[in-house]
Amino acid sequence: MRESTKMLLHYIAGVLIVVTGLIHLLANNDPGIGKLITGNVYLYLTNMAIFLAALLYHALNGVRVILIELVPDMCWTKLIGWAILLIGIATYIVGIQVLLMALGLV
Amino acid sequence: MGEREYLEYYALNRRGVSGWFRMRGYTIERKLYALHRITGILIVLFMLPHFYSTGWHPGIWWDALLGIIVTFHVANGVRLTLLELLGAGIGKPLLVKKPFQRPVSIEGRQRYLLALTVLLFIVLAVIWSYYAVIVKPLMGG
Repeated sequence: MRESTKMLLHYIAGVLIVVTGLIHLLANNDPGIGKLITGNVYLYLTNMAIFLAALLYHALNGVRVILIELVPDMCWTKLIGWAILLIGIATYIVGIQVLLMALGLV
Repeated sequence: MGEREYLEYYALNRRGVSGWFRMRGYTIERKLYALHRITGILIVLFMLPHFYSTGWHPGIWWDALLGIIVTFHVANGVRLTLLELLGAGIGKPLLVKKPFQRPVSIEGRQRYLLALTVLLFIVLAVIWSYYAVIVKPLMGG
């Protein structure tokens, strides 16, 4: 994937985080609107699945950009990219599992 | 040093992290850039333990501080998205008038965008703090 495509996805993930993160914050902190969101388990779960994916991509891509800037070497850039991808996939699986357990679905 | 050597020298990034804090001779956007990186790293540091233990929170006042960090990152992120992704406020290309040309970002639409960013940050930080310090303890969380 080209670096420009990765950055385009970084911005799109950022916009997704603003929307889904707002829903997440309202669900957990607002007594009125929170009940409406947490009342529907599948709405909450879908929102969290998108939020988690967008947040992980945005955060780990941010870390990747900082690291490859600090170590500007093609070999290291590839290695960092693959390591970050694997960490991201593993964290997403664990995150979804924790979420399903918290909702009592597993 | 030729242009190519100059670019290669700077691509080596010899200053490392200390280069983020090189403010002298730059516009205010440089400070926002450094703060954006620092807040981003702090959010990642909060996020990872929060993933593994969903109920984990640092405490009421730390939650309010987290709010300031997150809302700054969001407000500046909105500015960057508008400016870099959508090209809002970039304007037309100008002829370079060396050596006294002021950076375009010092005046005009980009400066209004920056002011709006600060305003958005303050509004969001106040709302977050209200929820963290007043609403959340009433909910027993």
